[in-house]
Amino acid sequence: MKIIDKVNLIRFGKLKAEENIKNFLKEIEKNNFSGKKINAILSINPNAINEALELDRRIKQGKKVGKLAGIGIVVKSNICVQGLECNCASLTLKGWIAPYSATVIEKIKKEDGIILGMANMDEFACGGSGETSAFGPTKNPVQLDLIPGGSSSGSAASVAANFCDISLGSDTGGSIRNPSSHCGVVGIKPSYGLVSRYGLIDLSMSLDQIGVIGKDSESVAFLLDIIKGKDEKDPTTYESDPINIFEVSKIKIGILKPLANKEIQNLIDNRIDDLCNKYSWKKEVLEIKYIDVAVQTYYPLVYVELFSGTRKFDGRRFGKKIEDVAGPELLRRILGGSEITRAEYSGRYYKKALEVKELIKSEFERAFERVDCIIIPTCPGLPWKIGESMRVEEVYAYDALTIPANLAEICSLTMPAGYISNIPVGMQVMCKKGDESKLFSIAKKIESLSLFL
Amino acid sequence: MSSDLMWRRLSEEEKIKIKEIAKNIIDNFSKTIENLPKSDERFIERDPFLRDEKENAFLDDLEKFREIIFSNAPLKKDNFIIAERGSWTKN
Repeated sequence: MKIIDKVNLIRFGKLKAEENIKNFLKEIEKNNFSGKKINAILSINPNAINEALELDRRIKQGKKVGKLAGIGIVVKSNICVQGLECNCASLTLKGWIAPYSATVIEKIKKEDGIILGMANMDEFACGGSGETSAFGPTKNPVQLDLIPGGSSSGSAASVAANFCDISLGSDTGGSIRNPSSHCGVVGIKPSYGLVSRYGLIDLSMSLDQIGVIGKDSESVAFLLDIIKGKDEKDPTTYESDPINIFEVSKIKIGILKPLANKEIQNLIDNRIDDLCNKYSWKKEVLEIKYIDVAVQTYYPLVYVELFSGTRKFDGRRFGKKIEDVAGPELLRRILGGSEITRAEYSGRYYKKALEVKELIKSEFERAFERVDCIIIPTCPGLPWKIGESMRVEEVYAYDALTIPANLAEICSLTMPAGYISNIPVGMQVMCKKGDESKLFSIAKKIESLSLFL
Repeated sequence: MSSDLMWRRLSEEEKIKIKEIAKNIIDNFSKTIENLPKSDERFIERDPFLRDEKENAFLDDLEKFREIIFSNAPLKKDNFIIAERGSWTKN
Protein backbone atom coordinates (compact mmCIF):
# COMPACT_ATOMS: atom_id res chain seq x y z
CA MET A 1 0.00 0.00 0.00
CA LYS A 2 1.27 3.47 -0.87
CA ILE A 3 2.18 5.71 2.08
CA ILE A 4 -0.32 8.38 1.12
CA ASP A 5 -3.16 5.81 1.02
CA LYS A 6 -2.20 4.45 4.43
CA VAL A 7 -2.02 7.95 5.93
CA ASN A 8 -5.55 8.58 4.67
CA LEU A 9 -6.79 5.36 6.30
CA ILE A 10 -5.22 6.43 9.59
CA ARG A 11 -6.44 10.02 9.37
CA PHE A 12 -10.04 8.91 8.77
CA GLY A 13 -9.92 6.34 11.56
CA LYS A 14 -10.10 3.29 9.28
CA LEU A 15 -6.73 2.05 10.53
CA LYS A 16 -5.36 2.78 13.97
CA ALA A 17 -1.79 4.09 14.10
CA GLU A 18 -1.33 1.77 17.07
CA GLU A 19 -2.31 -1.24 14.94
CA ASN A 20 0.06 -0.21 12.15
CA ILE A 21 2.99 0.19 14.54
CA LYS A 22 2.19 -2.98 16.52
CA ASN A 23 2.04 -5.03 13.30
CA PHE A 24 5.55 -3.90 12.37
CA LEU A 25 6.91 -4.50 15.87
CA LYS A 26 5.40 -8.00 15.83
CA GLU A 27 7.07 -8.76 12.48
CA ILE A 28 10.40 -7.39 13.74
CA GLU A 29 10.16 -9.58 16.84
CA LYS A 30 9.24 -12.58 14.68
CA ASN A 31 11.88 -12.35 11.95
CA ASN A 32 14.54 -9.84 12.93
CA PHE A 33 15.57 -10.97 16.42
CA SER A 34 14.35 -14.58 16.00
CA GLY A 35 12.89 -16.71 13.19
CA LYS A 36 14.75 -15.72 10.02
CA LYS A 37 17.13 -13.56 12.13
CA ILE A 38 17.42 -10.96 9.38
CA ASN A 39 19.29 -8.60 11.74
CA ALA A 40 18.16 -5.48 9.90
CA ILE A 41 17.14 -3.65 13.09
CA LEU A 42 19.59 -2.98 15.92
CA SER A 43 17.25 -1.32 18.41
CA ILE A 44 13.57 -0.50 18.80
CA ASN A 45 12.12 2.85 19.81
CA PRO A 46 10.57 2.05 23.20
CA ASN A 47 8.12 4.96 22.81
CA ALA A 48 6.78 3.94 19.38
CA ILE A 49 3.49 2.47 20.63
CA ASN A 50 2.86 5.38 23.03
CA GLU A 51 3.45 7.84 20.19
CA ALA A 52 0.94 5.91 18.06
CA LEU A 53 -1.63 5.85 20.89
CA GLU A 54 -1.25 9.60 21.38
CA LEU A 55 -1.76 10.12 17.66
CA ASP A 56 -4.92 7.97 17.67
CA ARG A 57 -6.22 10.06 20.59
CA ARG A 58 -5.65 13.26 18.63
CA ILE A 59 -7.40 11.81 15.58
CA LYS A 60 -10.38 10.76 17.74
CA GLN A 61 -10.56 14.29 19.14
CA GLY A 62 -10.73 15.62 15.58
CA LYS A 63 -7.39 17.41 15.80
CA LYS A 64 -5.27 18.07 12.74
CA VAL A 65 -2.50 15.54 12.16
CA GLY A 66 0.57 15.58 9.93
CA LYS A 67 1.23 14.21 6.44
CA LEU A 68 2.98 11.12 7.85
CA ALA A 69 0.41 10.34 10.53
CA GLY A 70 1.12 6.88 11.96
CA ILE A 71 3.63 5.81 9.32
CA GLY A 72 6.33 3.50 10.69
CA ILE A 73 9.85 4.55 9.72
CA VAL A 74 13.18 2.81 10.26
CA VAL A 75 16.31 4.99 10.41
CA LYS A 76 19.90 4.11 9.52
CA SER A 77 22.10 4.09 12.62
CA ASN A 78 24.21 7.04 11.45
CA ILE A 79 21.27 9.50 11.59
CA CYS A 80 20.68 10.99 15.03
CA VAL A 81 17.29 10.43 16.66
CA GLN A 82 17.17 12.07 20.07
CA GLY A 83 17.01 9.47 22.84
CA LEU A 84 17.85 6.48 20.62
CA GLU A 85 21.18 4.68 20.25
CA CYS A 86 23.05 5.97 17.20
CA ASN A 87 26.07 3.69 17.01
CA CYS A 88 26.95 3.55 13.27
CA ALA A 89 27.03 -0.25 13.78
CA SER A 90 30.38 0.20 15.51
CA LEU A 91 31.74 -0.59 18.98
CA THR A 92 33.15 2.95 18.93
CA LEU A 93 29.69 4.38 19.56
CA LYS A 94 28.05 1.37 21.20
CA GLY A 95 25.63 2.68 23.81
CA TRP A 96 25.81 6.30 22.60
CA ILE A 97 22.40 7.93 22.86
CA ALA A 98 21.87 10.81 20.44
CA PRO A 99 21.35 14.04 22.41
CA TYR A 100 19.55 15.75 19.50
CA SER A 101 17.68 14.83 16.33
CA ALA A 102 18.87 15.30 12.76
CA THR A 103 16.94 17.88 10.73
CA VAL A 104 15.30 15.09 8.69
CA ILE A 105 14.01 13.47 11.91
CA GLU A 106 12.63 16.79 13.19
CA LYS A 107 10.74 17.15 9.90
CA ILE A 108 9.37 13.60 10.10
CA LYS A 109 8.23 14.07 13.70
CA LYS A 110 6.59 17.37 12.85
CA GLU A 111 4.46 15.44 10.34
CA ASP A 112 3.61 12.73 12.91
CA GLY A 113 5.77 9.98 11.41
CA ILE A 114 6.75 7.35 13.99
CA ILE A 115 10.34 6.15 14.28
CA LEU A 116 10.21 2.38 14.79
CA GLY A 117 13.89 1.79 15.40
CA MET A 118 17.48 2.06 14.24
CA ALA A 119 18.75 -0.01 11.32
CA ASN A 120 21.88 -2.10 10.99
CA MET A 121 24.45 -0.87 8.46
CA ASP A 122 28.04 -1.33 7.39
CA GLU A 123 30.34 0.01 10.11
CA PHE A 124 30.45 3.82 9.76
CA ALA A 125 28.96 3.27 6.26
CA CYS A 126 32.24 1.65 5.15
CA GLY A 127 31.15 -1.24 2.94
CA GLY A 128 28.78 -2.22 0.20
CA SER A 129 27.59 -5.57 1.48
CA GLY A 130 26.11 -5.16 4.97
CA GLU A 131 28.77 -7.53 6.33
CA THR A 132 31.05 -5.03 8.07
CA SER A 133 28.67 -4.24 10.96
CA ALA A 134 30.16 -4.91 14.39
CA PHE A 135 26.75 -6.33 15.33
CA GLY A 136 26.70 -9.03 12.66
CA PRO A 137 25.74 -8.98 8.98
CA THR A 138 22.22 -8.26 7.77
CA LYS A 139 20.58 -11.00 5.70
CA ASN A 140 18.85 -10.36 2.39
CA PRO A 141 15.12 -11.00 3.05
CA VAL A 142 14.70 -12.23 -0.55
CA GLN A 143 17.36 -14.94 -0.19
CA LEU A 144 18.65 -15.27 3.34
CA ASP A 145 22.11 -16.60 2.48
CA LEU A 146 22.91 -13.57 0.30
CA ILE A 147 24.19 -10.13 1.26
CA PRO A 148 21.54 -7.40 1.17
CA GLY A 149 24.06 -4.86 -0.14
CA GLY A 150 25.16 -1.79 1.76
CA SER A 151 25.94 0.33 3.44
CA SER A 152 22.23 1.02 4.20
CA SER A 153 21.75 -2.74 4.53
CA GLY A 154 19.26 -2.67 7.40
CA SER A 155 17.22 0.18 5.89
CA ALA A 156 16.68 -1.69 2.59
CA ALA A 157 16.19 -5.08 4.24
CA SER A 158 13.63 -3.57 6.66
CA VAL A 159 11.48 -2.41 3.76
CA ALA A 160 11.80 -5.73 1.92
CA ALA A 161 11.04 -7.73 5.10
CA ASN A 162 7.92 -5.67 5.99
CA PHE A 163 9.47 -4.30 9.18
CA CYS A 164 8.34 -0.75 8.30
CA ASP A 165 6.44 1.38 5.82
CA ILE A 166 9.53 3.20 4.64
CA SER A 167 13.10 3.90 5.76
CA LEU A 168 15.92 6.43 5.70
CA GLY A 169 19.44 5.63 4.54
CA SER A 170 22.48 7.59 3.45
CA ASP A 171 24.28 7.33 0.13
CA THR A 172 27.92 8.31 -0.46
CA GLY A 173 28.79 6.05 -3.40
CA GLY A 174 25.70 3.88 -3.76
CA SER A 175 24.81 3.01 -0.17
CA ILE A 176 21.07 3.45 -0.75
CA ARG A 177 20.84 2.24 -4.35
CA ASN A 178 23.02 -0.85 -4.02
CA PRO A 179 21.03 -2.50 -1.17
CA SER A 180 17.72 -1.34 -2.65
CA SER A 181 18.67 -3.10 -5.89
CA HIS A 182 19.69 -6.33 -4.13
CA CYS A 183 16.56 -6.34 -1.92
CA GLY A 184 14.13 -5.51 -4.75
CA VAL A 185 12.90 -2.13 -3.48
CA VAL A 186 13.04 1.51 -4.59
CA GLY A 187 15.73 3.85 -3.28
CA ILE A 188 16.80 7.38 -4.09
CA LYS A 189 20.03 9.28 -3.70
CA PRO A 190 18.87 12.89 -3.96
CA SER A 191 20.89 15.64 -5.59
CA TYR A 192 23.73 16.85 -3.38
CA GLY A 193 22.37 19.62 -1.15
CA LEU A 194 18.67 18.75 -1.53
CA VAL A 195 18.46 17.21 1.96
CA SER A 196 20.11 18.53 5.10
CA ARG A 197 22.90 16.38 6.51
CA TYR A 198 22.69 18.02 9.93
CA GLY A 199 22.68 15.13 12.41
CA LEU A 200 24.16 12.64 9.96
CA ILE A 201 27.43 11.11 11.17
CA ASP A 202 29.40 11.64 8.00
CA LEU A 203 31.42 9.24 5.90
CA SER A 204 32.51 11.75 3.27
CA MET A 205 31.14 15.25 3.63
CA SER A 206 31.47 16.22 -0.03
CA LEU A 207 29.47 13.20 -1.24
CA ASP A 208 27.01 12.11 1.51
CA GLN A 209 23.27 12.52 1.06
CA ILE A 210 20.38 11.24 3.18
CA GLY A 211 17.73 9.51 1.05
CA VAL A 212 14.65 7.32 1.19
CA ILE A 213 13.96 3.62 0.59
CA GLY A 214 10.42 2.33 0.00
CA LYS A 215 8.30 -0.11 -1.93
CA ASP A 216 7.18 2.27 -4.70
CA SER A 217 8.48 5.48 -6.22
CA GLU A 218 5.47 7.62 -5.21
CA SER A 219 5.92 6.78 -1.52
CA VAL A 220 9.64 7.52 -1.77
CA ALA A 221 8.89 10.87 -3.44
CA PHE A 222 6.30 11.65 -0.75
CA LEU A 223 8.78 11.27 2.12
CA LEU A 224 11.61 12.94 0.22
CA ASP A 225 9.40 15.98 -0.34
CA ILE A 226 8.93 16.23 3.44
CA ILE A 227 12.59 15.89 4.45
CA LYS A 228 14.16 18.06 1.74
CA GLY A 229 14.80 21.80 1.85
CA LYS A 230 17.23 24.51 2.83
CA ASP A 231 18.58 24.22 6.34
CA GLU A 232 20.73 26.87 7.96
CA LYS A 233 22.55 24.09 9.81
CA ASP A 234 23.86 22.63 6.53
CA PRO A 235 25.28 25.31 4.21
CA THR A 236 25.29 22.98 1.19
CA THR A 237 21.45 22.87 1.15
CA TYR A 238 19.40 25.02 -1.19
CA GLU A 239 15.80 26.13 -1.68
CA SER A 240 13.85 23.75 -3.92
CA ASP A 241 10.37 23.50 -5.39
CA PRO A 242 7.99 20.81 -4.13
CA ILE A 243 8.44 17.44 -5.83
CA ASN A 244 5.70 17.24 -8.40
CA ILE A 245 5.01 14.04 -10.33
CA PHE A 246 3.72 14.96 -13.79
CA GLU A 247 2.80 13.17 -17.01
CA VAL A 248 5.93 12.74 -19.11
CA SER A 249 6.06 12.18 -22.83
CA LYS A 250 8.74 12.16 -25.51
CA ILE A 251 11.49 11.16 -23.14
CA LYS A 252 14.99 10.69 -24.52
CA ILE A 253 16.96 8.09 -22.58
CA GLY A 254 20.73 8.21 -22.51
CA ILE A 255 22.40 4.81 -22.46
CA LEU A 256 26.05 3.98 -21.98
CA LYS A 257 28.29 1.23 -23.34
CA PRO A 258 27.76 -2.13 -21.52
CA LEU A 259 28.76 -1.77 -17.88
CA ALA A 260 27.45 -4.83 -16.07
CA ASN A 261 27.70 -8.59 -16.43
CA LYS A 262 26.02 -9.88 -19.59
CA GLU A 263 22.83 -11.18 -17.98
CA ILE A 264 22.17 -7.98 -16.04
CA GLN A 265 23.04 -5.77 -19.01
CA ASN A 266 20.67 -7.75 -21.26
CA LEU A 267 17.85 -7.44 -18.76
CA ILE A 268 18.28 -3.66 -18.48
CA ASP A 269 18.67 -3.26 -22.26
CA ASN A 270 15.42 -5.20 -22.77
CA ARG A 271 13.61 -2.99 -20.25
CA ILE A 272 14.80 0.14 -22.05
CA ASP A 273 13.57 -1.33 -25.35
CA ASP A 274 10.20 -2.10 -23.69
CA LEU A 275 9.95 1.56 -22.63
CA CYS A 276 10.85 2.83 -26.08
CA ASN A 277 8.31 0.50 -27.72
CA LYS A 278 5.47 1.15 -25.28
CA TYR A 279 5.83 4.91 -24.88
CA SER A 280 7.64 5.83 -28.12
CA TRP A 281 10.57 7.13 -26.06
CA LYS A 282 13.88 7.56 -27.83
CA LYS A 283 17.31 6.35 -26.77
CA GLU A 284 20.76 7.68 -27.52
CA VAL A 285 24.13 6.13 -26.81
CA LEU A 286 26.27 8.55 -24.83
CA GLU A 287 29.93 8.69 -24.03
CA ILE A 288 30.71 10.04 -20.59
CA LYS A 289 34.43 10.55 -20.30
CA TYR A 290 36.27 9.61 -17.10
CA ILE A 291 33.38 7.44 -15.83
CA ASP A 292 35.81 4.52 -15.98
CA VAL A 293 37.95 6.15 -13.27
CA ALA A 294 35.03 6.96 -10.95
CA VAL A 295 36.07 4.31 -8.41
CA GLN A 296 39.70 5.50 -8.44
CA THR A 297 38.50 9.10 -7.94
CA TYR A 298 36.01 8.25 -5.22
CA TYR A 299 38.21 6.32 -2.79
CA PRO A 300 40.93 8.97 -2.22
CA LEU A 301 38.11 11.42 -1.39
CA VAL A 302 36.38 8.99 0.96
CA TYR A 303 39.58 7.82 2.67
CA VAL A 304 40.71 11.40 3.40
CA GLU A 305 37.33 12.75 4.46
CA LEU A 306 36.58 9.71 6.64
CA PHE A 307 39.99 10.03 8.31
CA SER A 308 39.32 13.70 8.97
CA GLY A 309 35.74 13.14 10.15
CA THR A 310 36.63 10.37 12.59
CA ARG A 311 39.37 12.27 14.47
CA LYS A 312 36.74 13.17 17.08
CA PHE A 313 36.35 9.49 17.97
CA ASP A 314 39.52 9.43 20.05
CA GLY A 315 37.96 7.75 23.09
CA ARG A 316 37.62 10.93 25.10
CA ARG A 317 34.16 12.30 24.33
CA PHE A 318 32.60 9.32 22.56
CA GLY A 319 32.83 5.68 23.61
CA LYS A 320 36.03 3.99 22.45
CA LYS A 321 38.96 5.08 20.30
CA ILE A 322 37.97 4.18 16.75
CA GLU A 323 41.31 2.62 15.72
CA ASP A 324 41.16 0.28 18.73
CA VAL A 325 37.81 -1.33 17.89
CA ALA A 326 37.33 -0.82 14.12
CA GLY A 327 36.75 -3.82 11.88
CA PRO A 328 38.98 -4.44 8.80
CA GLU A 329 37.18 -2.25 6.26
CA LEU A 330 36.75 0.79 8.50
CA LEU A 331 40.36 0.55 9.65
CA ARG A 332 41.59 0.17 6.05
CA ARG A 333 39.91 3.43 5.09
CA ILE A 334 41.10 5.31 8.18
CA LEU A 335 44.70 4.14 7.80
CA GLY A 336 44.64 4.80 4.05
CA GLY A 337 43.33 8.31 4.75
CA SER A 338 45.95 8.86 7.40
CA GLU A 339 48.64 7.83 4.93
CA ILE A 340 47.68 10.18 2.09
CA THR A 341 47.07 13.16 4.34
CA ARG A 342 50.72 13.02 5.48
CA ALA A 343 52.74 16.14 4.84
CA GLU A 344 54.86 14.47 2.15
CA TYR A 345 51.82 14.21 -0.13
CA SER A 346 50.74 17.82 0.64
CA GLY A 347 47.15 17.03 -0.34
CA ARG A 348 48.21 16.08 -3.88
CA TYR A 349 46.02 12.97 -4.23
CA TYR A 350 43.01 14.55 -2.58
CA LYS A 351 43.17 17.70 -4.73
CA LYS A 352 43.61 15.63 -7.87
CA ALA A 353 40.57 13.52 -6.97
CA LEU A 354 38.53 16.70 -6.42
CA GLU A 355 39.59 17.91 -9.87
CA VAL A 356 38.55 14.67 -11.55
CA LYS A 357 35.24 14.85 -9.66
CA GLU A 358 34.65 18.22 -11.33
CA LEU A 359 35.52 16.75 -14.75
CA ILE A 360 32.98 13.96 -14.26
CA LYS A 361 30.38 16.48 -13.07
CA SER A 362 30.90 18.57 -16.22
CA GLU A 363 30.59 15.46 -18.41
CA PHE A 364 27.20 14.66 -16.88
CA GLU A 365 26.05 18.28 -17.24
CA ARG A 366 26.87 18.08 -20.94
CA ALA A 367 25.07 14.74 -21.27
CA PHE A 368 21.89 16.13 -19.72
CA GLU A 369 21.80 18.83 -22.40
CA ARG A 370 21.10 15.99 -24.88
CA VAL A 371 18.89 13.58 -22.89
CA ASP A 372 16.21 13.67 -20.18
CA CYS A 373 17.62 10.81 -18.15
CA ILE A 374 20.33 8.17 -18.21
CA ILE A 375 19.39 4.56 -17.48
CA ILE A 376 21.99 1.96 -16.54
CA PRO A 377 22.10 -1.10 -14.27
CA THR A 378 22.42 -0.27 -10.56
CA CYS A 379 25.02 -2.95 -9.82
CA PRO A 380 27.42 -4.71 -12.19
CA GLY A 381 26.79 -8.13 -10.60
CA LEU A 382 24.42 -10.10 -8.40
CA PRO A 383 24.80 -10.16 -4.60
CA TRP A 384 27.26 -12.71 -3.25
CA LYS A 385 26.87 -15.14 -0.33
CA ILE A 386 27.43 -13.74 3.15
CA GLY A 387 31.02 -14.46 4.20
CA GLU A 388 32.18 -15.34 0.67
CA SER A 389 35.81 -14.56 -0.19
CA MET A 390 36.15 -11.31 -2.10
CA ARG A 391 39.19 -9.20 -2.91
CA VAL A 392 38.96 -5.61 -1.64
CA GLU A 393 39.36 -4.10 -5.12
CA GLU A 394 36.66 -6.44 -6.42
CA VAL A 395 34.26 -5.23 -3.72
CA TYR A 396 35.09 -1.58 -4.45
CA ALA A 397 34.34 -2.18 -8.14
CA TYR A 398 30.78 -3.20 -7.24
CA ASP A 399 30.03 0.50 -6.70
CA ALA A 400 31.36 1.51 -10.12
CA LEU A 401 27.87 2.23 -11.49
CA THR A 402 26.54 4.15 -8.50
CA ILE A 403 29.58 6.29 -7.61
CA PRO A 404 29.34 8.53 -10.74
CA ALA A 405 26.02 10.05 -9.56
CA ASN A 406 27.62 11.03 -6.23
CA LEU A 407 30.64 12.57 -7.95
CA ALA A 408 28.36 14.44 -10.36
CA GLU A 409 26.02 15.52 -7.50
CA ILE A 410 22.96 14.48 -9.57
CA CYS A 411 19.81 12.64 -8.43
CA SER A 412 19.63 8.92 -9.02
CA LEU A 413 16.99 6.31 -8.23
CA THR A 414 17.02 2.53 -8.38
CA MET A 415 13.89 0.50 -9.00
CA PRO A 416 13.23 -3.20 -9.55
CA ALA A 417 13.74 -4.24 -13.19
CA GLY A 418 13.26 -7.98 -12.88
CA TYR A 419 14.91 -11.12 -11.54
CA ILE A 420 17.86 -13.31 -12.47
CA SER A 421 17.87 -16.70 -10.71
CA ASN A 422 15.13 -15.34 -8.39
CA ILE A 423 17.44 -12.51 -7.28
CA PRO A 424 16.17 -8.94 -7.75
CA VAL A 425 18.00 -6.74 -10.25
CA GLY A 426 17.79 -2.96 -10.05
CA MET A 427 17.65 -0.39 -12.82
CA GLN A 428 19.20 3.00 -12.13
CA VAL A 429 17.56 6.15 -13.50
CA MET A 430 19.57 9.38 -13.27
CA CYS A 431 18.51 12.97 -13.94
CA LYS A 432 20.36 16.25 -13.69
CA LYS A 433 20.96 17.98 -10.37
CA GLY A 434 17.74 19.29 -8.85
CA ASP A 435 15.47 17.49 -11.32
CA GLU A 436 13.84 15.11 -8.82
CA SER A 437 10.35 15.89 -10.16
CA LYS A 438 11.29 14.64 -13.62
CA LEU A 439 13.10 11.63 -12.11
CA PHE A 440 10.02 10.52 -10.16
CA SER A 441 7.72 11.23 -13.12
CA ILE A 442 9.83 8.93 -15.30
CA ALA A 443 9.98 6.33 -12.51
CA LYS A 444 6.19 6.33 -12.15
CA LYS A 445 5.81 5.77 -15.86
CA ILE A 446 8.31 2.90 -15.70
CA GLU A 447 6.45 1.35 -12.74
CA SER A 448 3.19 1.49 -14.62
CA LEU A 449 4.68 -0.93 -17.13
CA SER A 450 3.61 -3.89 -15.02
CA LEU A 451 5.26 -6.25 -17.49
CA PHE A 452 8.48 -5.56 -15.58
CA LEU A 453 7.78 -7.83 -12.62
CA MET B 1 41.75 -15.33 0.30
CA SER B 2 39.21 -15.34 3.14
CA SER B 3 36.57 -12.63 3.37
CA ASP B 4 38.11 -9.42 4.61
CA LEU B 5 34.74 -7.76 4.96
CA MET B 6 33.16 -9.44 7.99
CA TRP B 7 33.73 -7.52 11.20
CA ARG B 8 36.19 -9.06 13.62
CA ARG B 9 38.60 -7.92 16.32
CA LEU B 10 42.00 -7.26 14.78
CA SER B 11 45.44 -8.16 16.09
CA GLU B 12 48.30 -5.66 15.90
CA GLU B 13 49.89 -7.74 13.10
CA GLU B 14 46.65 -7.60 11.10
CA LYS B 15 46.48 -3.83 11.58
CA ILE B 16 49.97 -3.43 10.12
CA LYS B 17 49.01 -5.60 7.14
CA ILE B 18 45.80 -3.62 6.60
CA LYS B 19 47.81 -0.38 6.57
CA GLU B 20 50.08 -1.76 3.83
CA ILE B 21 47.11 -2.90 1.74
CA ALA B 22 45.38 0.46 2.19
CA LYS B 23 48.47 2.33 1.07
CA ASN B 24 48.84 0.11 -2.00
CA ILE B 25 45.20 0.56 -2.99
CA ILE B 26 45.26 4.31 -2.62
CA ASP B 27 48.62 4.61 -4.42
CA ASN B 28 47.30 2.56 -7.36
CA PHE B 29 44.05 4.52 -7.51
CA SER B 30 45.79 7.86 -7.32
CA LYS B 31 48.30 6.93 -10.02
CA THR B 32 45.39 6.10 -12.35
CA ILE B 33 44.03 9.63 -12.13
CA GLU B 34 47.32 11.50 -11.73
CA ASN B 35 47.73 12.43 -15.39
CA LEU B 36 44.13 13.33 -16.22
CA PRO B 37 43.55 16.93 -17.34
CA LYS B 38 42.93 19.73 -14.87
CA SER B 39 39.39 20.94 -14.31
CA ASP B 40 38.51 24.56 -15.18
CA GLU B 41 35.85 24.63 -12.51
CA ARG B 42 36.29 26.48 -9.24
CA PHE B 43 35.82 24.16 -6.31
CA ILE B 44 33.53 26.07 -3.97
CA GLU B 45 30.92 28.66 -4.76
CA ARG B 46 28.51 29.51 -2.00
CA ASP B 47 26.38 32.47 -1.02
CA PRO B 48 27.72 33.93 2.22
CA PHE B 49 25.37 33.63 5.17
CA LEU B 50 25.46 33.55 8.93
CA ARG B 51 23.82 30.86 11.00
CA ASP B 52 21.00 32.03 13.24
CA GLU B 53 22.06 30.96 16.73
CA LYS B 54 19.07 32.36 18.64
CA GLU B 55 17.19 29.06 18.91
CA ASN B 56 18.48 26.52 21.38
CA ALA B 57 15.60 24.14 21.86
CA PHE B 58 18.13 21.57 23.02
CA LEU B 59 18.41 23.34 26.37
CA ASP B 60 14.68 23.98 26.77
CA ASP B 61 14.08 20.67 28.44
CA LEU B 62 16.90 20.55 30.99
CA GLU B 63 15.64 17.34 32.58
CA LYS B 64 15.78 15.55 29.20
CA PHE B 65 19.20 17.05 28.51
CA ARG B 66 20.45 15.81 31.88
CA GLU B 67 19.03 12.32 31.28
CA ILE B 68 20.76 12.00 27.88
CA ILE B 69 24.10 13.35 29.08
CA PHE B 70 24.03 10.96 32.04
CA SER B 71 23.08 7.99 29.87
CA ASN B 72 26.12 8.65 27.65
CA ALA B 73 28.59 9.14 30.50
CA PRO B 74 31.02 6.23 30.73
CA LEU B 75 31.58 6.65 34.50
CA LYS B 76 29.03 7.99 36.97
CA LYS B 77 28.24 7.81 40.66
CA ASP B 78 24.99 8.97 42.26
CA ASN B 79 24.34 12.42 40.87
CA PHE B 80 27.80 13.01 39.36
CA ILE B 81 29.62 12.25 36.14
CA ILE B 82 33.14 11.10 36.95
CA ALA B 83 35.73 12.76 34.74
CA GLU B 84 39.22 11.33 34.64
CA ARG B 85 41.56 14.11 33.66
CA GLY B 86 44.18 13.21 31.08
CA SER B 87 43.66 9.44 31.27
CA TRP B 88 44.40 9.12 27.56
CA THR B 89 47.93 10.45 28.04
CA LYS B 90 48.99 7.42 30.11
CA ASN B 91 49.75 5.15 27.12
